[in-house]
Amino acid sequence: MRNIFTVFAYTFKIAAKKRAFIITTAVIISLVLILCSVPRLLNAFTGGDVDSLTEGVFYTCYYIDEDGMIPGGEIALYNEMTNTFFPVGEMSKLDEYRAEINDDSTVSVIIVENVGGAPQIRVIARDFMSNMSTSTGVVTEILSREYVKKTLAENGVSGELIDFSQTKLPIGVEPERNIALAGYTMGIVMITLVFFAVYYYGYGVASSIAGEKSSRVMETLIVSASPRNILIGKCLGMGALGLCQFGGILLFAVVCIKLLIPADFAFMGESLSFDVFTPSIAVLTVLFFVFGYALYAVLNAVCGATVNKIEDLNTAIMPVMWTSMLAFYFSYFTAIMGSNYEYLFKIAMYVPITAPFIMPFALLNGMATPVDIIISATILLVSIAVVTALSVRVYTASVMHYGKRMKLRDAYKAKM
Amino acid sequence: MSLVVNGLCKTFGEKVAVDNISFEMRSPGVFGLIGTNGAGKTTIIRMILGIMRPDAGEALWQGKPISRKLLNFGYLPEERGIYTKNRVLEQLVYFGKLRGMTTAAAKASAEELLERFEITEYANVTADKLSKGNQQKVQLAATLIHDPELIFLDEPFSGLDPINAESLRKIINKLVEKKKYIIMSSHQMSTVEEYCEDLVLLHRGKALLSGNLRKIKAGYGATKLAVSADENVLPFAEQVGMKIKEVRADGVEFLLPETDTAKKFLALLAENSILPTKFEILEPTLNEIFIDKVKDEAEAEK
Repeated sequence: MRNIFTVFAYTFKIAAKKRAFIITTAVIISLVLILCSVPRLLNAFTGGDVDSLTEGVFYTCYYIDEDGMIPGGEIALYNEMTNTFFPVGEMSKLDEYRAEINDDSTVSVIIVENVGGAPQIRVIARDFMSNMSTSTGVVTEILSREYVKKTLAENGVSGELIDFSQTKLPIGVEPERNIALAGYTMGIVMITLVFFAVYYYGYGVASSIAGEKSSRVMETLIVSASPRNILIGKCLGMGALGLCQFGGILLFAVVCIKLLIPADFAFMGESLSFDVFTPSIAVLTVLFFVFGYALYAVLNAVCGATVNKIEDLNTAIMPVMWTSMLAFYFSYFTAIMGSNYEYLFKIAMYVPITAPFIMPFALLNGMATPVDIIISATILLVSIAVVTALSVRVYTASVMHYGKRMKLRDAYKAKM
Repeated sequence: MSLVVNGLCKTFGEKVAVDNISFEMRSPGVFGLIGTNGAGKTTIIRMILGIMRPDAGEALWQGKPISRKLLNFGYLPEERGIYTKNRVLEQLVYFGKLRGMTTAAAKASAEELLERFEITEYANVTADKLSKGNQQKVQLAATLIHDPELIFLDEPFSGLDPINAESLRKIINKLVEKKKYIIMSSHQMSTVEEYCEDLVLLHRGKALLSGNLRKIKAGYGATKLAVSADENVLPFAEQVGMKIKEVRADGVEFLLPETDTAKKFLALLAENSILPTKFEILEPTLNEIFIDKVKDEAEAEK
């Protein structure tokens, strides 16, 4: 136990002093600071009010209906799309409009043409990303409504009946589960952060062990501490360092957001709020992060122990890298597909390699019941124990093996 | 105190690396594990230390198997292994703590060793800035930091220049003075001859010879005679039946059939008023004994 702590403390201290670690931390902290300062910087440059950022951009859309298929269409559009101007355009100036569109992504054109007596709508925009701040679905709905009104009026239908035909039934969504945009966004961010943390710090463990083996320090260490203690101490050391860096950066980001970003600032119409992180969710998120890190760290440690030269490390950790990537993408797509695929969530929550990624999302969005949390954590803990036991065996056999790279199967079977 | 090694065996696949090796070290000093590269020296040390599990046999220190819990041994591996990117003192303290020392005790011991090895100025320098010889001293400091009773030195002189080799000799002599038990492996026979009272001569995992070096040499008897003189002594050597082994710049080395031949030869020189400037009866060197034994082994295999 004492040796585990000694290895842990030394690993932590040495890794924290490494130039790469200091530079990475400084770069990430600077990026967080810059990102959080963007609203105020923009405000300083534009001289405007920061809050105006939330109001969005104004668009211009030329409306061309030379055959009068939907008269007043531009007014109907403007009434519902208030951030877009709809000046009436001319077909003869279409080339000028096209040139304008190429220069400015906020400009577009709607052309209503007479095709066989019925109107056909064409939208010209720079690309599919730069439209009139809304989808063509909305445009066609508004113009279709106007066309129906006009046609009914031409056929002698009374104004009352026409208005009645345009009636929209009120609809309200009452979500059974508590998936809010804030929780959803935070959940996706957490999946990504956990993946990067697991990948980055796991690589750190593998690299540290491979470095010790290739420099032959291992032979000095192994007479003083058992391979099991070295493995656990190293994983704990790198894990604690990762948790400190990760937690420190998150804390710094929260402080920056609180201090630098206006309270009523909204991104894509949604205000930034950490209210979804209740104390219990925060604790469970950290717990699953630690579990996930532990699982991938021991796997990476074994891969690190199988190489003799540090140059072979990337090849050696490939199986763990692919496993973590598959688990990440499975969790990510399960999350973005939402609660419609409940069975996928269950699989992701219970499979140990995906649980660390999906659980923060599930917790933030109220999709994990207490039973799910207990089952997931138990399976994950048992898996960590089993993988650690197997890893210690493989690690012990391979750590003192030099020469041709040892296969995992041979390392497992080796007599120690 | 004693180290008893009894019937150690180890095979790697088809290859027999160590074949039934036994020896005992019952008093302080230097015990030699001698042999060419691949003779099984490092494997034996690893098995004694418990890094590697033997297929058969055991190694006991004071009647107990050596394990990590037995902290009073030190090990200098053949392949030098220190953290090249870490500061010297920092890593020595780490190695000391792994040996059960407190931080303060490890630091004090590390500083004392650095001073003794005359590398104090490198305490706060990363190890990659040190010469190979000084890195070797740091490695030795890591081995001795906890003042072990039993010390394993695996090829300690390999790769050292004469100055650093001399420095290491002094360190080993000090350890011998302090009554430490030292197991030293080497393929450099002349080096081992300087220190080892007892040894095992290894070849392809087998012990060709083991025991006290003086007794082994005595068993071979005086086999050579080195003579230097201003006059030509070759005709007189022929008269007493001695053959030339080697002609050197400082004289001639003859093969000695028996000790009495030397007496006859000296008498003959005296009769002819020849005063030799050098007349030395030589025992066989360890190297010669080793080569002789390997030849015997090869012939026996045929």
